[in-house]
Amino acid sequence: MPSFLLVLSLSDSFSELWSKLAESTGTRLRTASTMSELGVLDDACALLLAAGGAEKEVPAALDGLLRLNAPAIGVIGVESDHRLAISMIRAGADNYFALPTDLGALRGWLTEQVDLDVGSSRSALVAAEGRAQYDFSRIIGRSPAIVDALQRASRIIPTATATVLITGETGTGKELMAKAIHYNGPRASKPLLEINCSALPENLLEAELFGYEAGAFTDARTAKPGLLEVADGGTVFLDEIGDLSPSLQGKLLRVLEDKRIRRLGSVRDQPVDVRIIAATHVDLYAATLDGSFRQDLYYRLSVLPIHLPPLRERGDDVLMIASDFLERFSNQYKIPAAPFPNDVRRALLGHSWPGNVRELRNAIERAVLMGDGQVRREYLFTDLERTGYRPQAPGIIPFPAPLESIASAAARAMTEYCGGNKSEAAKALGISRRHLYVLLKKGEE
Amino acid sequence: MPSVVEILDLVAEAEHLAATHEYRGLRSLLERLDGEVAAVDPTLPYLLAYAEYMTGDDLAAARRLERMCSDPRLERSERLYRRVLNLRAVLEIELGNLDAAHGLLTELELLARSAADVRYQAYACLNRSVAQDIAGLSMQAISSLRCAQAAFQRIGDLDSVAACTHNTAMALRHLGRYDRAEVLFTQAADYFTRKRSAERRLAAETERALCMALSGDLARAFPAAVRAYDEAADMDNGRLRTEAARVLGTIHRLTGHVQTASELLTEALEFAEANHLKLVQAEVLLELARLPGTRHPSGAPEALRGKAAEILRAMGAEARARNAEMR
Repeated sequence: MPSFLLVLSLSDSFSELWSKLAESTGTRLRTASTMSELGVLDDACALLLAAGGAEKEVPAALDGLLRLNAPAIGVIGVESDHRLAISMIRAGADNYFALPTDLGALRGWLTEQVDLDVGSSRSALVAAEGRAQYDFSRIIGRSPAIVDALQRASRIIPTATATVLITGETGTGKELMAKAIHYNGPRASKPLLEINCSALPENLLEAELFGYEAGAFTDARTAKPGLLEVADGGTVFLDEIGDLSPSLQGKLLRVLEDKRIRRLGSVRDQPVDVRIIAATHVDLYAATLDGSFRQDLYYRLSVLPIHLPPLRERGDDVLMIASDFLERFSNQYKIPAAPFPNDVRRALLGHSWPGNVRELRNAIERAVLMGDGQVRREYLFTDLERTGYRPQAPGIIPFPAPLESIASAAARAMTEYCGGNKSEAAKALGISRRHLYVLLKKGEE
Repeated sequence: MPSVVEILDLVAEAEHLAATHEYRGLRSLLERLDGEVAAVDPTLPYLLAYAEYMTGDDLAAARRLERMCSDPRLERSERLYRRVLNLRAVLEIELGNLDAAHGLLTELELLARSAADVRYQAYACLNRSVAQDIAGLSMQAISSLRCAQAAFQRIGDLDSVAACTHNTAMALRHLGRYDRAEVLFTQAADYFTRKRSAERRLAAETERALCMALSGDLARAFPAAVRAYDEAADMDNGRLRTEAARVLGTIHRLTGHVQTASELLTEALEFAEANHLKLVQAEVLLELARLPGTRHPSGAPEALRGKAAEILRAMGAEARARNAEMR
């Protein structure tokens, strides 16, 4: 519900203006010519005191308004005189605007007051958008395994604090499930942030999760809040949690148990309120048996486990999902597509889909784009041999090139990847720090 | 001189066109504007500059904003001043002046913090991430983007959440994580499709086509890039057409169509040079250097790489300059 713009008019000047101002700032308007007509003030984001020739009456009016604990007050006049503006502000106004000269400034000031007032309520829009985009109906299928996963998810949604562990192969929809849980639950209007635990070296991941104080390490010139802090009130999605180092596993366990974090380099703990949704494609239980994943953290995470089955175990679901993608891409690219012919249906059911739903999606998109209205079997699967092209890693390692050039380029790339931390880069490459320096030096020659 | 009510009507109409992504309409509304009217509410020239930027006329937008900043009346509009600073920083990034952009973003961050303006603190963070990514610090860029995204989610700024998604995808692509980048470009494109923002949707779809190509799925990449190129041409948006030409040229190179690749990349290079889009210029030069068995009029592969490195170094993107030299 938009808040009110209050106008107390001490003269008739600009009377046509107020409704336009309210309209342009998305507020509802209430005007009055006396203090008593104003009514309650606590539903207003700003109050305009329209002097327009009656400037002498302003100090008394301001005095009365300030006693009533009015919102931000802008005085509107016609005189563009800085001495007058200063006297108004000394008398208690927040700002003074001379019209028409200051029209833009007045609008800007009002917009700012509105933003301060309704900023938090707008976050409901995020929840609505998220719910529309990550509705459970987007997780298609009738196979017993997927129905079981959806039923488990529906039990989890109302609980705002329960930790969730989503398991499943790559491309089975773990991220989609995490987003559906967040945006359909009680934390929907708060942030959902995700981090891939396998994509960052240990020290960077720790800094990213917990934040740091200025001077905590060489490059920490200013303090930075961590992900767990920034997402306060919301959800943190930890993808590939199986790749978390033992030291970080311990720190995450403490967060889950104590609901407190400590920035790197800080001596103070601070409370955090986040739901953790973790996901992994590895068998975490097996990892606890071989000692690579802490058993206590595993049990803490797997309070509410959801397993997403691979596509090859979902029977006819593959046809339902493929038809949904067909319709979607047909609309997106404005290419009318006929239903799948029998040979395509057989191919869809017979393929093992190692990349799961993501692979199926790409296959259907490709077939729609190439098929000219008819999905053909030969377009479903990529044929890299036809082009002879193979993707290269990050594109910054020269190839083909002498081994020496490749090695020094890899050293540079890894150093950059580790944010300039040479010890970390050397560790990640499995070479000594000294060897890394030699490679970097060679690259400069 | 129109009355204040008439000016307010004009501002409301312009803001509406900007909010509904009708940038061509916004330009034609404001290009006829009387200078005196524009001075009464500096929001109008700001919105015109924004429309110029969104329709690919970066230089005109940058010049307009520079003129605005010398107008003392802007000092009275603190919020508008922050908007102007933000757009100026975006344009400096587009034009390859990373140091200038960092300076503007620092000023914006300090002003926004002192005014407790979460939105513009987040914009500063978002745009700093773009500069970091261009400079080759893609990990730091992703970290900045997470902070910006959380702030935008809190204040309900969905367009900016989607912009964070797009920029995270760019950074992931620079890190070689093409599959993940493609997923995020798809999310951004889907959002801008729903919001009918043709320019932003097309930008995301063009970059997505490049991800498909780099991950080896040329069968999907090629038609997607052709569509993006045709659509950008229909839109008459030079910047988008340049990006699409670069992507389509790259795909032609990967499929071995050297002549077509050369023509498309030359088209992209000419526009980038004429419009001072230094980053695009450097990227196109690097792409031209990779063309096998040809000698482009701009020079031999080593010379093209050297020129690209020089541009990147002048921008303040040292890490990328070194990579350019190594390729």
